[in-house]
Amino acid sequence: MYRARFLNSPDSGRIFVTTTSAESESSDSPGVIFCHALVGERQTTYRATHLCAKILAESGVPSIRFDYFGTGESAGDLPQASVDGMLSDALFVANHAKELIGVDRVIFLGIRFGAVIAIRAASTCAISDSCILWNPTLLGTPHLRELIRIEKIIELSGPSATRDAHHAASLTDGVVLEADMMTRNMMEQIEAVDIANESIALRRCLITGCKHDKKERRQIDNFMEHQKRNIESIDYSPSQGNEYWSSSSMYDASFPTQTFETTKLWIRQIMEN
Amino acid sequence: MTEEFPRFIESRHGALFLMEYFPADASPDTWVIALNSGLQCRTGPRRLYVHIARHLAQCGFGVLTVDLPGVGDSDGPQLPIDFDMHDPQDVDCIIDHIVREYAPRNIVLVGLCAGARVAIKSAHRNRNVSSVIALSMPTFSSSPGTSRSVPNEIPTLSKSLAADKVYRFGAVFRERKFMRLSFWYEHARPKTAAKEFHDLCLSAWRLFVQRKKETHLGHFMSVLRETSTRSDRVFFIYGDLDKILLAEFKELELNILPEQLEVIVGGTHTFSTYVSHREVIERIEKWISSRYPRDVQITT
Repeated sequence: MYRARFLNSPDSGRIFVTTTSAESESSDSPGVIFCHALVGERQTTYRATHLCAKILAESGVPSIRFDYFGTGESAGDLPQASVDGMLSDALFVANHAKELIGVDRVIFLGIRFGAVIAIRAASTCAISDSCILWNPTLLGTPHLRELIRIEKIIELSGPSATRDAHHAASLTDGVVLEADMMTRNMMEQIEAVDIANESIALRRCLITGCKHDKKERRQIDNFMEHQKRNIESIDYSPSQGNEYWSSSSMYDASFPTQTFETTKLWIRQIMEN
Repeated sequence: MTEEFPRFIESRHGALFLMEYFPADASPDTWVIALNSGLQCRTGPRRLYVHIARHLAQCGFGVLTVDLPGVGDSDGPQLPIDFDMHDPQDVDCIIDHIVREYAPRNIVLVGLCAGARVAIKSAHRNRNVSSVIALSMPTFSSSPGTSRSVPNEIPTLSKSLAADKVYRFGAVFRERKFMRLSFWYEHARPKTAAKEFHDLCLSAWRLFVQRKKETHLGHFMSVLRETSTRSDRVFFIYGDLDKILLAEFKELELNILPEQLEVIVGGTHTFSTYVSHREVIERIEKWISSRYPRDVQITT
């Protein structure tokens, strides 16, 4: 059912890929390509994506999970990563979908900032016209600030973080995240993200969100309002679940099962239509 | 240039995921196995385990990063949230795999937090384990809460921990952290503030009123004491900012040599800062290299 391997991307070097094949083969089934979140949120959502891949496989939908260059077990480190590179990696993996999981079409599933990659990839990829967005961050600047704020909490621990700040300042411009340097170039690419106002073309989109998160809801509403002409059908499904991507989820073994179920049923609907 | 091979092996819970890191042009006689830090997958906190593995492989050691059952890409039940969530029996399965495949002369277990605890327990029961590197190992605490929770095994080390808590609260005012917005965002939410206040009162009680009682040494403590007696067997690394766990460890008064404990300045529980992240990798490599010098010449 599971297989893991490296693919050699001409742009990025070695990309780590895990595939989950469907338990029952279906010629109509699309494959799902998971686009993971940024920095620490990749770790906190990792198990959730593994479990979702398993659930999808049980319902006949194969999937691919991969690490962008400079993240996870792919080659490279954070200073070498970029948002453009992340998109390029997603498209590269999609080009290998037939070889990896035997599908002719794919749905990109993006978690948090991965939603940005998923939308852009689905809009450009020849074998995709749909995407699924889990608790998407559709505006880059607030998301980047949140990632930096979480990192800076460390400063509350004591003045020795000053040493790191001095060290970081002596390197290329950027910010230390994930114990490594996110370059100014990548920061600017993230800050430039405003998906609601981007030019995209999709057939279908599913968005899952948190019922109680008002900020997230505002972003989603704004996106749906601005993009309703570019996307034939947008489904929004809020859930009761907790913030499974936050660091506190490392002390909480619950998973967003409602989101898994919504995702599975939505894909099934696509297959039936 | 090192090589990396992902694979799945069979375990009592189903498929278990491993990533094997090989030095180029060498057959390593020392293998290092990195055990999950709690629920975090094999890449470790902030890719620490990936960086450790790649660095050690470049230095000529074989390395395995694993997902223990219930974590990452391995099958397995949902795990309880305590520092003993991992079973040393599953570590035995991985050790058996390495012994069968590569017949190494030495096997070193590395683990952070809950990974350190299971590494100690595994070393105690499995003779194939040569040594352990325990990073940020919880000793008296049996389960995590928030980063400021009171240890669950009460009373534990009342005076030093309680004093630390009161000191930390005092530091907030001394260093004027309350003037920063980020501080209030983190601390002033109702639930967090109430819990902090409760913890502070409890700590003050212990510090000033309650007498220090005999600490209860459970099974893990006796395993820890027995395993750490050999100076070449266990190496403990803590960050100086991981104050509570470091204080707990020091108060255990284990019979260890000074060189068995390394405290990294500026290091948090997961060595999350730029400099401490690199320092801990360097310390690990230095310790392993000094104990298990490589016989093979690495061609570069």
